[in-house]
Amino acid sequence: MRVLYPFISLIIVVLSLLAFMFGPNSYRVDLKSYQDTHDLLMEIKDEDMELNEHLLMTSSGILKNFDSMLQHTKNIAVLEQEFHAREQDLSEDNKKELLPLASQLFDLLKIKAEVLEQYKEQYAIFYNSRAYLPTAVSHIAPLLSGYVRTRLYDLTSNVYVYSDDATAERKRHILSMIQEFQHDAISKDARNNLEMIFTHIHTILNGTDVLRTLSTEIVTRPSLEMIERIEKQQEKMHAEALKTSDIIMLFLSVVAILLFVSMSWVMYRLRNTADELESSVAELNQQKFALDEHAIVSATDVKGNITYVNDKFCALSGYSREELIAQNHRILKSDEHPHEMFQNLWATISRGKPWHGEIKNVAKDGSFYWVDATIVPFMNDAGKPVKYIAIRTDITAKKAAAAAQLANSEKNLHRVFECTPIPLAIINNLEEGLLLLCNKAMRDLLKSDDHDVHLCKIFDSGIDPKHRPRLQKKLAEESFITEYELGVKFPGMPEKRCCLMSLHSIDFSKKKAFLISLFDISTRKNAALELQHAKEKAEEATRAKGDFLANMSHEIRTPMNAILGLTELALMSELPPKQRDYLTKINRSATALLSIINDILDFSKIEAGKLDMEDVNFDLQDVLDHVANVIALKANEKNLEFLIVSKPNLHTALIGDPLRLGQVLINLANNAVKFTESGDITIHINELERTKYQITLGFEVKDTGIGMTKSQLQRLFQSFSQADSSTTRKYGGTGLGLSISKKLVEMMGGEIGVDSVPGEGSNFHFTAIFGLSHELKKAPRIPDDIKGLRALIVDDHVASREILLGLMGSLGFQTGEASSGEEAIQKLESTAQNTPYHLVLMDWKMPGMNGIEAGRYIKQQMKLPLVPAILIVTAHGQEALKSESEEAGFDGYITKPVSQSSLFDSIMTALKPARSHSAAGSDPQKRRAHTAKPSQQLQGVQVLLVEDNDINQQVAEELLAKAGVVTTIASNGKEAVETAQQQTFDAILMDLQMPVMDGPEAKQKIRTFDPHIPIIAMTANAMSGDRERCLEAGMNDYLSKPINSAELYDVLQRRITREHDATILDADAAQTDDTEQRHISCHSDVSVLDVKKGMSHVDDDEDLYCSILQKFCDSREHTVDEIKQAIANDQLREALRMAHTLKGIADTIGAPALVEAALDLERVFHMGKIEESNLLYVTAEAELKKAIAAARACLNST
Amino acid sequence: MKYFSLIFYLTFFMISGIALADTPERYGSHILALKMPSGLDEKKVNLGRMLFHEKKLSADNSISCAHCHDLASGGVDGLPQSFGINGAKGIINTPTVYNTVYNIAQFWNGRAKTLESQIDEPVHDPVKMNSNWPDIIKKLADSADYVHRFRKIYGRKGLTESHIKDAIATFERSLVTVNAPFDRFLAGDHEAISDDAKKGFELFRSYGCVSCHQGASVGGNMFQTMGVFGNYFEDRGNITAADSGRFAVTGHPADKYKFKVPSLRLVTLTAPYFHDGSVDNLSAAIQIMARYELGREIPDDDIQLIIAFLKTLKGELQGGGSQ
Repeated sequence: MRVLYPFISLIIVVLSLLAFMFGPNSYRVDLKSYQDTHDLLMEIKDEDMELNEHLLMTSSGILKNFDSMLQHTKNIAVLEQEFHAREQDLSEDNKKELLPLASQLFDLLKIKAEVLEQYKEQYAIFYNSRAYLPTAVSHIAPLLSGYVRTRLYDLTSNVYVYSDDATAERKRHILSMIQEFQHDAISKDARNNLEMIFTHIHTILNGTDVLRTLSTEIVTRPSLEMIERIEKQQEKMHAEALKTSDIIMLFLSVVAILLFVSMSWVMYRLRNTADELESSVAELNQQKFALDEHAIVSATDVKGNITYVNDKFCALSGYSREELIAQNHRILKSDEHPHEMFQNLWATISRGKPWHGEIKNVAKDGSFYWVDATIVPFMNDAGKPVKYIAIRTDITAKKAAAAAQLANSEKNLHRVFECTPIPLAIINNLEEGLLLLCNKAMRDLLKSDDHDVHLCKIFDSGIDPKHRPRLQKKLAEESFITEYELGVKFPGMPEKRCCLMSLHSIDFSKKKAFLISLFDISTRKNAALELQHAKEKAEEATRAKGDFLANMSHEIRTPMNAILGLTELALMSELPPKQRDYLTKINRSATALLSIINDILDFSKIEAGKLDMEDVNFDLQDVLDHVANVIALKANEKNLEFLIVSKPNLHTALIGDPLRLGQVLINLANNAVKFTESGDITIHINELERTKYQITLGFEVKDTGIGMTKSQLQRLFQSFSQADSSTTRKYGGTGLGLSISKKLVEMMGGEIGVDSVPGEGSNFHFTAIFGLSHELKKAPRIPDDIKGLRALIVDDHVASREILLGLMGSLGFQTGEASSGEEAIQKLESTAQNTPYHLVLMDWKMPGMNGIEAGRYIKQQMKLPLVPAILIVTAHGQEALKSESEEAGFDGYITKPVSQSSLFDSIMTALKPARSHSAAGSDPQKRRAHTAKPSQQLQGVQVLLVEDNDINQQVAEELLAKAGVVTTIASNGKEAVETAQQQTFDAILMDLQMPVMDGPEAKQKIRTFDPHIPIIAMTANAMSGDRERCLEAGMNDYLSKPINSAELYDVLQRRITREHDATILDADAAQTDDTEQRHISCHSDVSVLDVKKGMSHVDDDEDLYCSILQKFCDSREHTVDEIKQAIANDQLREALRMAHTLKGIADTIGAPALVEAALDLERVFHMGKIEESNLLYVTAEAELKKAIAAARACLNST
Repeated sequence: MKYFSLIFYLTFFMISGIALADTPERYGSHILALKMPSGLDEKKVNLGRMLFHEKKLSADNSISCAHCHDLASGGVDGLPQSFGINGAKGIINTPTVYNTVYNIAQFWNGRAKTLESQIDEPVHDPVKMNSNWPDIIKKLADSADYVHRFRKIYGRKGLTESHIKDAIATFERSLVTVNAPFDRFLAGDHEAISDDAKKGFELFRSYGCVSCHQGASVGGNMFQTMGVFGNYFEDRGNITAADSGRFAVTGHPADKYKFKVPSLRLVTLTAPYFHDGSVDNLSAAIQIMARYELGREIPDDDIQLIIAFLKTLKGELQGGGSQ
């Protein structure tokens, strides 16, 4: 904008100049020429009019000379000349328009003038003749006769009349009168005169006509009209010119206004600037005044010669102004400052930079004063300083105060230095360590006041020369070092002390020195060392505890494996009732013990924070089935109704930890069973909340048991606590179950609670959050022919009926219900004709007519057109029921709690008569073993057992054989992979720790060619993480040793979906029957070889045991040597595995001492303490030899 | 339009009436008193006088304007035809230089409309000065006096043809013979002229002379045919080119033999008479005029009376040639 203003102004000025140069000029010329020509024309007009006037006057005889007419004619001529002279001034337009008109005008006037001349001539002649006529007549009259004379007078008067009133008639008359005189006799002289008179008369007559013509011609010459025409034309053009000039004027006005505005603006700006300048000058003066009042001001030239000082300067320095001016500033210089400072000062201000600093000056009287000075150089255009202005403030007093303060603080600092209990000293350098100053603490330490002590010399180790460069660098960078540890031998002290040294690089008396502090940390150091030791010990103890737990778990499970396994095997055999009773009780006790142990282990894990939840895809239904399997039996034993109620459309594909969920449910349900004497136990499952990825489920376990009081409820979830101690006495239990459950629930993101009324029952409820799995659930495929079939549900128990109704509905059945057998019969009868039922689900135990009776009646007594299939639903899986139901011709039975899949299976069997026999007609002998009833589904299943331990191979193989499983054995992973490649299996049971190739690796390989085969891990390490490791490694399931047969079957059943032919079952049954009882006797020390124990591991199968023993003797003789060799080869893992295998096999054959020795080895290897294994080798070697010897003796004895 | 005409004529007559009432003499008289033209620059007049008498205007510096127009002797040289340089003879009688300001035009046939334009002819005419303006200016420029005077009057351009003409014409305009006895008579001085002169004036009027010779100059303000009654030239004989008169200027046949009516103010001094200078006494001239112009004879007594009148017309001459 600022740049634009001058530009705009310039444009305006140029415009206005142009306008004033051309606009008004043309206008003015135009106007003037117009005015001139106009005036001329007016004059010409006037002259012309006067000319006409005078002509008329002349013709009428009023005017008797031609002077005036001549004058007018001349004037017109002059005006014409003037006009022509002015022609040049006319504009081109005017010339074009006006000049032709003007020339016409002047032509007219010229003609007029010419005619006028003729008029004048003729008039003169006429006038003369007319004037002369009377005279001429009077002269002749005397010569004529009276008659002639009279006629002459008459003629004359006629002529005069004619001259005034010229008519043709009169003229003729006059001419005829003249003719008459020809005949008169007149004298010659008279005749001559008469002729002359006639001549004049002719002249008059002619003159009258001519003059009239000429005067008319003159007066009617349209000169005036011409002039008016010109005028009009001119006016018209002038008006146009005026219009143009108006526009120009308007433009000029605008330009003028613009000019005025811009001038005003410029003036305004100028004035403003002037005002600003004025106020700036005033302000500067004020500032100078203020500056002079406050500061000491001086100015010098470039050489430092003073050119100006203010009053303050004079007052402070003591010099008068006259003494200072032209003096060099140096006269004030004191010796306080080093030469460098002034060099720096001059260098700074010479560069044009201001300099700040404090200077000590000397006054005239020699006193010193301090000033805080700012020196500002003034530069010329070339960048050279031309003068310097120095502004100073008197800081003498401040300096003095500061000095005093400094002294004071120095004093204080010295006190602090002196009093501090930390030994401090100042030394000259690190090499010499000469003591320059030290405090009391240091003196005490050095036991000397002697300053000549070289401190560094008492350093025991001194400063490590290796560290010196680093320290020096650090000192150079940061000027201090803290906490450098070194040993010092103080005088008078028996031993060297560990000290923390800190070093500060300081200026001491203007020399470089070091402040050194030595802090004795020997005591602290020792304490820290002790603490470290204590901590290590504690950690060691913790680790030991953890290991102990791991070992405990292993150690406890191994005997439990034997107890449970063998009890089960024993119970499968024919036994006298008493023994069966014992064994049953042993089995129950062992199971309880195992559960207690598991609780304790779980609790330990939880306490140790080692319990991890897993996140795997699972089906809730599987978990519920498992719970039902476990609980139903117990409930059944106590005649309790056990129900699981879940919405049929519940989303059961979940992500979470199915085992832990099952554990909680089983725990709660177990409790419910335990504390309920009669009634029912129900598990309700509800969906509480559902997001895209998560589902929150609510579980309730309700019983009709003894219930709890409020005070009991309060302590309920605390560890080691049951409702009360009396309860413990009555019902047993560790009291850990609920607290474990609580922890587990919390780990599943939920909470647990209980509502209870004493005497009425309890309701344990908990929530848990699961991920939503979208893995397709193996939904039962409902055949089309089932859909739309009608089913009648008969149950006296409302809840149970509703569950069945829901389930049947979801399977596509049309359902009806009846609450008793009688009602069922009624309903069947009433609907028989139109809507007969195809299927009846009949509860067994009902008041009045029970299920068997009602079913029998329906099948046998009722003559129904369509006999419905009947399924007996029972919570009581007794053998009696089965035989009874078969007798009654029922189509199958279902055990409560009913799950969708079990219901579906049973219905499918019942409605397909071809298969119903094989399903229902299972071997009665097999069913006797109720503790572990291997499902028919396992019949003929092909399983690959991968186990390096011979004894474990044997146990597992036999247990599997009992379930009709065809077992192929592989001794290590490599074999397993090879076998699996050659043969197809339904499942693989895989030990984890094996030689050659361990479980996880084998699994990987097998998965490469058979990705879907179920692989179930087996491990004796029931410690935390094993399970997780297994599943992480891609195993489908997990079994912990000791292998519980029920679990084994359960897991296998869950993982194997194959259906089998009944023939396999028969073959298997026959084989089982062949089992003989053999007796093995052994008299060896039970600590070396406990045959009983070993036998128990193989279900007292003597042959099996013997073969295991044989294998043990054959293959394990050099095991310890092999272990040693492995260690020598630095193959710790191999050694560990071998020790572990040795332990396992020793356990299986029942060699506790060897187990102990192997376990020691394993532990040592595990901890990596190879050096401690030497002793153990000897023990292990010895125990192995003993065991082999005992085994051989034993084998020989049979 | 009718109203306009009416108003116009009313106005016209009113003005006429007023004019008549104011100056009866100017309008009612045939002859008016001579008046000196107003507003003449005295310096120019003087310069013009110098130039009028300047012989350098002629090619051989032999003659000046005054050579033919002797101011003292009535502005004429008294010859029937004048002589130019080297004695060359002109073809026509020299008219007086006096009172030319009131002439309708200059020369007998009126071929010069102004005094300024008139000057060209005698300057260039071989039988007169036979010169040209550049030469004249060159010669005049030799005179510091002229240069100075011209500068003073006409400014920077000073000595130029037009300025020379202007100066001479201005001077000639001042040559008015004012204060004649008849003029005094007209002004009311009845004793200014004799009774004969008064009688002569009446005759002059009554014979009709006044029909052409009227106005302040008593002639000079119109042209008239030489020989209105009778053929003058046939009677005279020996017709020359100069006799064609105004025809030579206008080319109109009607203008043949027409000449400017000369002023009679100095008629007593400017013999011989007529354009051809053919009559050297006034009585004869009056006889000829009466015969050819008025168509009558005038008795000799009357002629003498008319001459008496004509004598009273002469006013003051420049250069002391008065009376």
